[in-house]
Amino acid sequence: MNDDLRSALHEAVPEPPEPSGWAGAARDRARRTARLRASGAGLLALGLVAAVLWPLLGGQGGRTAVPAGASAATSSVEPALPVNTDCTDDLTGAKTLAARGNLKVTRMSLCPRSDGPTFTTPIDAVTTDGSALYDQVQALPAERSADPDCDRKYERRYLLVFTLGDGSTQALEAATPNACTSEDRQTAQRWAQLLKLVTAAWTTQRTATPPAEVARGCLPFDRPGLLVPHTDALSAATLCQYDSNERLQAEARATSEELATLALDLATNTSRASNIDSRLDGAVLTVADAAGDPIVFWRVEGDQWFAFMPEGEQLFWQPGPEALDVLKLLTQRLQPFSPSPTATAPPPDPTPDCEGLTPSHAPAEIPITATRLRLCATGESTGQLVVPLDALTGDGVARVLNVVRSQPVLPTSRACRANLGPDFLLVAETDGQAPVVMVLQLYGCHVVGLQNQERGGADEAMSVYRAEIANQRNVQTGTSVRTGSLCGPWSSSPVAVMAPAPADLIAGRFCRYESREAQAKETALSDDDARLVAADLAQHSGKPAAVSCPLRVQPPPKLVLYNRFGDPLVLTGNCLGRYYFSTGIEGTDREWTPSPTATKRLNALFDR
Amino acid sequence: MEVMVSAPEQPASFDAFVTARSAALWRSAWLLTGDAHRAEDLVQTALAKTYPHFTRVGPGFEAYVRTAMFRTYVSWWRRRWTGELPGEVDTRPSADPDVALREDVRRALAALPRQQRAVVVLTYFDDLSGAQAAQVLGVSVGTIKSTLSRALAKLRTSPLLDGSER
Repeated sequence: MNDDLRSALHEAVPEPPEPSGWAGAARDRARRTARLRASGAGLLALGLVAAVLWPLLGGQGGRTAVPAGASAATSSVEPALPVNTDCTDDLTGAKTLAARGNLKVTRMSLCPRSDGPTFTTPIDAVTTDGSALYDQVQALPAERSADPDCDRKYERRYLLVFTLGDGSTQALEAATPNACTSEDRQTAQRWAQLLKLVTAAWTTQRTATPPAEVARGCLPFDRPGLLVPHTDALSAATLCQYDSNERLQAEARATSEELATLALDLATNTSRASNIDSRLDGAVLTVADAAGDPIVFWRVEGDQWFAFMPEGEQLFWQPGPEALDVLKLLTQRLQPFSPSPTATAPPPDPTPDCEGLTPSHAPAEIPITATRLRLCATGESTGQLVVPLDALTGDGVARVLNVVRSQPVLPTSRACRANLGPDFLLVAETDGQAPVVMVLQLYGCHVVGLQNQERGGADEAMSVYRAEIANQRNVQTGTSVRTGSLCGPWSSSPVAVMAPAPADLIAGRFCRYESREAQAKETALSDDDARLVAADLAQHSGKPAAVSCPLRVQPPPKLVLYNRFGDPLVLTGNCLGRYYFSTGIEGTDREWTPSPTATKRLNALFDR
Repeated sequence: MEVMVSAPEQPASFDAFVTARSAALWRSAWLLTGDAHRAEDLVQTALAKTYPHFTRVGPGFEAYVRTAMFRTYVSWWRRRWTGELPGEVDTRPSADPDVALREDVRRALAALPRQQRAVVVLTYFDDLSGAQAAQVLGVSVGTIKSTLSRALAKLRTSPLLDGSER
């Protein structure tokens, strides 16, 4: 067996691809991770997760992107949920229930666990036949010792809480059938039978006494429903967009007509399956019934969705054309999630020319020329990228569009690299006509996308666009002023598409944060301070930024300087008095070690 | 018993390392994931994680990358734990006509939980000893032995690997 297995494995592996560009891609990815880590934004999510939590949605290879206004506002607050008061934060579950003796069970509640993956549990409690259920749960086959290869803390668990006649509570820790327990028939049976018991208990009570209505919108990230509603009983549908830190960014609620379309489609175009690709592609659709029990659908590649079911399989959904149209409409209507009044978000940088633009409005053809060509930011991956305020005009427009038109149309079935990168909207405007909006993706297949086709060569198009903007600026005085917050959120370190040279910086702001969630207090730098910082930066920077640091200042001090075209350069305190900054979307992170004079001036600024 | 291995050489540069050794890493990644794109993603994730430490690690960088790759693979499962049952490896049939063995092996591995799959690949494809595999996965040698035992028991009874005509 051993030699046969060894041979089989070696013979089975196909020829690997050429690792062309892998080293560079790894370096870029490592630097992006380091930048985010240093700025306190948290780790860039790994591989599959990171690459796909971008809010792109569309049909047949087209793209629909979130307008810049929606993505710029950020929130660090989770959606507020209605709560079951039995589910307190200090609740911990036991592996078994103690004997109840003569005490009756007066109520039962299902609660999420607070220390790991969990479910969305119902708000209502069951107040009938609790004693019988208690005894049935006690009689279930015992949970066996954990497989040492399975780390139990990563299991998706919930709590079944019994309140007894004397006011005491018994909380049972429970899970649902999963890969860890599938090999152990007894434990798998326990979870399966327990789930049936609780589902039946809640169904019985709700049939007799309908619960109070619970409004459900977007949920905290990755919180599937424990009790699954019937698709013919849905009362709400919400499209939800999360960032790479799993925070809710935007949402869009379906109208009653749209909900009806989705519900009908879900009733006919879903099936149970396993082995569904867990690659996530940005959008999450939460549907719920009147009791608030949700099904959370994740979008995977193509127009396919799936939802995790508590019994261990997945619910697979392939929407029909009408449902796809509804999903597109919801995407277009995504609005920034409004945080609670106690948290504040900085005002977005207004780019009125970008608002409401989506590629789905675009015609199929790339124009030969246009009056103006501009870039717009889209979605999460460009939330930290600042597009130029000025648009390209004149002959340069045709030159850029010609680059796009000369690229081959990509086949619909193709393999793309797994590298990460930003995406933009490239908007061609001609007076008196609707704009032609193209998506420019600097990742994966590096496409320039229209509604019905995708072409390659996004990098070349971006490179030529930037070169043409630079040429145009050579003959312009430039008086662009970027309004709105330049500092942005604490965790964000914006990078300019047209990264300014230190020598061109003319003014700036100093950003002070009192906490991670707080909006920055922005103070304009005096002309003298700005000149000193810019000159010092030009003279004492250039070294690659250090990846690790033994001591970080939190929150990091931040300075934002800009040139005469409004392109910002963000200096973020990195380590022990040093600052890092990015040299642009195709550049690298560099370090600035201020001179003693500059350090003294910066210390004075921070102490204000 | 201490396992003696020949001392690895310091790669000339990160780029040189990637050029020379990515293929070997990709092969292991393919056996883990069962999919060419996921395999590339896994290798690139490991390279991105380990690149900042290239100079510090020096000789033995490949073992370092391999460790990162296998632990990333296992932690992907943990990170995105959502009740998936084993077998989430892509088992869709390939258009390549010469893939009978490849499909059988892929599907047989797909029937194993991730950690069992990882141990099989480390010991039977990468030819690591139990101690080396334990070091890669950060578990005890005893865990490696018991995991491997369960994996082999499954594979022995798999109709995909018994050589029978189908």
